[in-house]
Amino acid sequence: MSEISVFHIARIKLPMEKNRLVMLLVGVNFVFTGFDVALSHAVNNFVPAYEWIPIIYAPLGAASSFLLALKTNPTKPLTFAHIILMALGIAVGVLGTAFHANQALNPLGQLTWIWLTFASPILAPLAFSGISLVGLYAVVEEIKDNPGFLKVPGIGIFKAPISRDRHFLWFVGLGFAASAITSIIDHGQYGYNFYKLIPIAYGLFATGVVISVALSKEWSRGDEVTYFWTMIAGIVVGLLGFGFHLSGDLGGTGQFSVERILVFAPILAPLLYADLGVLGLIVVGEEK
Amino acid sequence: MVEKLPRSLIIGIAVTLVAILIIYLFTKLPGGGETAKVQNVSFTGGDKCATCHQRVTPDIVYQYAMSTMAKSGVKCEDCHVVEKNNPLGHDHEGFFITYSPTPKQCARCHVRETDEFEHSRHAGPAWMALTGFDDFSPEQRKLTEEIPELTRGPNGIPTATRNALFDIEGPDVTPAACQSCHSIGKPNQDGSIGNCNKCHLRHEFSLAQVRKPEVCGQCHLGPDHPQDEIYKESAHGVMYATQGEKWNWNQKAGRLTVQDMPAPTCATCHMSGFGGEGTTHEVGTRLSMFLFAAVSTNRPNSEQNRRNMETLCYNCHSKPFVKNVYQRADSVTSFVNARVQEATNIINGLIKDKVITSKPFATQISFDAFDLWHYYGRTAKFAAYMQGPDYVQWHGVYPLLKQLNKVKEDAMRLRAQHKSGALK
Repeated sequence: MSEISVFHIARIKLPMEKNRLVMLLVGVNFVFTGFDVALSHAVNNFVPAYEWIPIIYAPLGAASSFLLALKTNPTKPLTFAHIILMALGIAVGVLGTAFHANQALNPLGQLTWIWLTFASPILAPLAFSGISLVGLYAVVEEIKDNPGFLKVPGIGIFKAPISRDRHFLWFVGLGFAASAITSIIDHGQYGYNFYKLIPIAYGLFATGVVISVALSKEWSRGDEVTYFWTMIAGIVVGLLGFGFHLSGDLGGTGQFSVERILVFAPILAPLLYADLGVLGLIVVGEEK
Repeated sequence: MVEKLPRSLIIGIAVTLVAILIIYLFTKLPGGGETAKVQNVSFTGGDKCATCHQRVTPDIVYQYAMSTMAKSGVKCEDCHVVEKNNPLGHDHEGFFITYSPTPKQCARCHVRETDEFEHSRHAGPAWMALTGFDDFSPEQRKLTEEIPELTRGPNGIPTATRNALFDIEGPDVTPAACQSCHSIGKPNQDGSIGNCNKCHLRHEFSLAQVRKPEVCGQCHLGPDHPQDEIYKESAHGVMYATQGEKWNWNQKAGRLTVQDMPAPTCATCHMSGFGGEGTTHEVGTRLSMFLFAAVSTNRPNSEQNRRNMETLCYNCHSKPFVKNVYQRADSVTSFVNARVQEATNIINGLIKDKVITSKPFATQISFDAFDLWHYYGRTAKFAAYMQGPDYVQWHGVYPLLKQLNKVKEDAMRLRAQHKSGALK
C-alpha cells in the first residue's frame, strides 16, 4: 500500500508503489487499446494484413507492463525486454498513424473534411506511442537531485531538458490534445451539437491547462487547484461519454448487437479522458 | 479580477474559446464544414433509418443525402418498404423491407421508364442469353415475349437462344462473370424483371453519372463488345475526354442540347432526350440492325429506328455526312456477314459430315469459329457505326480474315484426318 498527496488537495491511497501503479495503468491501457483496435479492425476483417500489427503487439506490451507492475524487484532481462517492447510500441503508433493518414485521403489524393471525418481516426494509433512512452518512462529513473538526468536501465544515462515528472505532464497534455483533435474530427461526421461539444471543449480546455502547467516553472495554488479539478472533470467526462456511446451503440433499442458495437460509436474511446485524468492525478502526486 | 485567476485556467479557457471559434468559422466556410447531412433531406420513421445507418453504413447515407431524390423528399421507406406479400421482403427493425429494390419499387414513381426498360433488350433478353426462359415465370415470359426486338425464328416464335458457355462454365464461374452484367435483365421473385441499379448506381442516383460513358462501359467493353474502347477512339470520345469536364451534366432530363453537351456520350445517342428526340429507356429504338448477332439482320422497325438516330446526329452533322457514315458502316456489316456466313457454313458442313461433334465448344475449331464472329465480327461492325477505324481494321476485319483462313485450313485438315480414320 502507498499513499500520494495531490497538491495537498487530496490524499489518495494506492494499492502499490506509485511507479508500479503507473506501470499497471500502462498494462491496462494496452489491454483496452488492443481490444478497441481489434473491434475496429474486425469491421473490415483485418484486411490488409498489417491491421494485425497492433492487435499482436498489444498483449506483448501489456504482458511486460503487468509483469513489471507485479514485481518489486524486476530482473534486468525483463526490464530490458520491456524497454525494447516500449520502443516498438512507439514505432507501431507512428506507423499506424501513417497508414491511417494515407487512408484518409480521397481517391484523388486530396484531404477533404468529409473524408477525414469518415476515415480511420488519424491520430488514434498514436495512443500506442503515448502508452509506450509512459511505459518507458515508468522504468526510467532520475538521478537524485539532478532533474533531467535520466537513467535508462541497461542502456545508460541521458540528459533531458526537463525533469522526469515534467515528461509525464507533457505526455498527459499531448494525450489530451490528441484526444481533443480526434473528438473534433470524429464528431464532425454529421455536424456538431451540444452533447458533442462537451468532449471537444473539455479536451481543448484540459490540453491548455496541462500544457500551461507543464510549461510553468512554478505553479501557483490556483494552478494546482485548476489542474486537480480538470483531472477530476476528465474522469467524469470520460464516464459520461462512455454512457453516451453505449446508448448510441444500443441504437435506442436496448438490445445488444455485435454489429452496432463494431461500427457505431467507439465504445471505449471516451474512457481515454478518464484514463488521462487518473494518470494526470497520479503523476503529480507526491508519494508519502 | 482576471489577474487573480490562475494562469493555467486562463490558458485553458483561451485555448478552448479560440479553438471552438476556429471550428465555428471553419464550418461556415464554403464546403469547409461539409457533413453527411444536407438541407431538406428527410429520412423515414422519425429518422430511424438514418439513426442506425449513419453508423452502420455511413457511406450510403452520405451518398443518399447528396442525391436529388433526397432533396425531393423521397424517403428510405418509399423505395425499401414493400408489401407484406413481397417474397423479397424481410422484417427489419419494425419495417418490412427489401434490401435491394427492384423495378417494381422504381415504378412507384418512374412508371414510363421502367415500362420502357422492361420492353427493351436490356431486360428479359439479356438474361435469356444465359438461361433461356428457364428462370421466367409465365407472366415474366409473357412480358418478355411482348418485346418487339426479341430474337424470333422464321415463324415469328421467340427463340430463347442461350449461350452454351453458361452451362459449361457453371456456377463456379458465371456469378462472377457473365451473370454480373446479364443480371440487368434477371427475372425477380417479385414478378418484375431486371435491375435499375446496374446503371443508376445507388445511392446517389446521379444524373451526371449515368450520362457518362463509364457507366455503359461497365459491361460494354472487352473483346466481344468493345464499345467503351471504340468510343474512346472516336472523335466523340476524344471530345468527352478532353472537354467533358466543362459540360452541363446535370441538365434536366429531356432538355439536353448541344449547348449542354457539344459531343455525345453513349446515353446521348441511345437514350437521352436531345434536341428534337425524346428520352427513352428502350435502348433499341435508335438501332437499325442486330449487330450483336453472328450474321446481322435488320431489327423490327429498322428504318424508323435509323431515322430516330439520324435525328440525333443532325444536331451536329449534315445529312450527307450522316448518310455517308451509315453507308460505309452498312457495307462493313455486309462484308463481315459474308465472312461469318462462310465460316458458319464450314462448321455446319463438318458437323453434317460427322467430322466434328455438334456439341458446342467441344473442338478447337468451334472455339475458333465462335471467336471469329463473337470477337472480330462484332468488333468490326460496332466500330464501323461508332467510327472507331482501328477497331474496324486491326481489332476487327483483319483478325476476322486471319481467323477465317485458320478455320478453312483446320477444316481441310480435319476432313483429311477424318477420311484417313485418324480422328477415330
